[in-house]
Amino acid sequence: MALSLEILDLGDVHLDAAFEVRGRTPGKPYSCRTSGYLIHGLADGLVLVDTGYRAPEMMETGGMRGVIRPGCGLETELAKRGLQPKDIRYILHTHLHIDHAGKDDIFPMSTTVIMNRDELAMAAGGLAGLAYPPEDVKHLVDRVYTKDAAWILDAQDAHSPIELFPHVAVQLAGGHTRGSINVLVETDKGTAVICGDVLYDIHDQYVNPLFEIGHREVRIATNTQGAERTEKAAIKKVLESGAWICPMHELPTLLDDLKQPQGRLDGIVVPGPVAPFVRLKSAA
Amino acid sequence: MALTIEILNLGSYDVDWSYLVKYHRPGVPVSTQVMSYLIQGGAEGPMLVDTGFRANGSGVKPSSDGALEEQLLQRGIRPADIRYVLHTHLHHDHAGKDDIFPGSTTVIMNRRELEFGCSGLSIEEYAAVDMKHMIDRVHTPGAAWMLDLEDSGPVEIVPGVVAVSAGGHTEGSMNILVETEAGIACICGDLVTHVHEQLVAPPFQLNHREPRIAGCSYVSQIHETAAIKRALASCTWLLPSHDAPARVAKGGLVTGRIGGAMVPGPVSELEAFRTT
Repeated sequence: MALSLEILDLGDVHLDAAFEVRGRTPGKPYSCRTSGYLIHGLADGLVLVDTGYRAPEMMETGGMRGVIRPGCGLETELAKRGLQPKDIRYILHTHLHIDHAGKDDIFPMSTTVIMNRDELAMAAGGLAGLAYPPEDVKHLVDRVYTKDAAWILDAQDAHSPIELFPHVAVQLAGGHTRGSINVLVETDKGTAVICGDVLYDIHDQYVNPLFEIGHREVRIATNTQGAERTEKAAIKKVLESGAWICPMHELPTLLDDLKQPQGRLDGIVVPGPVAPFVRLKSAA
Repeated sequence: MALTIEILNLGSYDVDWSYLVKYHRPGVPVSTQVMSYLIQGGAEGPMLVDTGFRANGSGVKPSSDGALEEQLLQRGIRPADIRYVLHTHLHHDHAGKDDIFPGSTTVIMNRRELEFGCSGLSIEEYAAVDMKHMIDRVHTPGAAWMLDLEDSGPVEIVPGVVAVSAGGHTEGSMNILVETEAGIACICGDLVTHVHEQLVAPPFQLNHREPRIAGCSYVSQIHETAAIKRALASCTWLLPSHDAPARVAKGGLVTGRIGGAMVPGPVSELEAFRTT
């Protein structure tokens, strides 16, 4: 069975426009979505990529605001599909930030959480403060110390993908956070790259990158832990890794053979139809 | 006021010899002591290095001197009087009692060690409950002082007390160097677990002044070996967490042992020490 991705709407985040793209109109309010990706078609069962934030008010510790609109949110999205948490076989984390690993504890220990060791280390070490809330990290520590509740990867090489399931692999992202990984899913219409927060806004960071003048140069995010050069390289690697670029905070974009946007996903399933590519309204 | 170090005996437990000294007498159990070091005379108040086991579980023989809290009280010290708890590393026999200390007692640890303990490496050595307590401290103002010793180099905690990356035992282990009237004391955690069998008469070793590494090492052999040599070169007194302190001469030679509870203190001279 061919693999596909279904996008779950895990809630919005209201934040400063400059948080995502470096230098983008600081002080201007901005809002973005938070996605989870459900991987369908694997013999092993359902895989959910990222779980969103624990509660909307959690986002206020970072000076942001979380809003879960009616019909959205992880539990609601699962219920709409007739799914209970225990029906998810694996949770796979691009990284462990507050808005990506907040709901792991609604899943039983029989749902195995897959994460990169360096990312968990980063989360526990306190370097990034409340970007990794203690409630979330302590839950993950409990999983680490519970048999089979955690599958810890040692993805340390950005150029050696690790195959987790047939046609599903991960690779060290090399950007955003020290342990971020990209998830590569081969669909029958090209590879989908779930790129965590290495890329937030493909228009403002790649298609028409703010402030950049070099050919095919990319604009890094503000919310980064690495050096500018490594962050740029990480974005460029995402763009080389597949046709469907799937960030966590905007809808996926399909690139053509020349790596130009063919369109933005029109719907919630990858692969699927695309609509003409335009800049996000909230960024304009 | 000069800095002094007092040994607190926190109990003992049996391990395999080969755990203390690599490949040495496998299958033969040996009793090993668990210790904390109390540093007095520091500018900000008493400091404690490591806190021992959380509970006396199976196989742990309690100390005849009483539990950590009792031993502190015998000296008129309440947990809140300890200004800093420093950790050589966070294994369960070193970081089990941090939660008897209030948030105002700042716990000092090397960040890499906490990262190590939380991310599923050597899970038989760290306890989830201890790690979660540390995470709470990390998120409590003033309750934790995180060091980044690999990149920062040595950090002076108070005058005369310096934390340095150990480079051995675990990836995040640190040594604590204390300036006493009789020279530098290096509290080296589990870099050395048994002074005699690793440094004085090391089994299997053929080369001059080559130490025998511990069995319970979690870094590469070369890193572990170099770390022991570096610790020996840094001090006059070597204070491991599971054995009585040693006096160290130039060139890393162990020439005597401290038999009492104080460093500096009376030394029993080693009549004939070997290095190979």
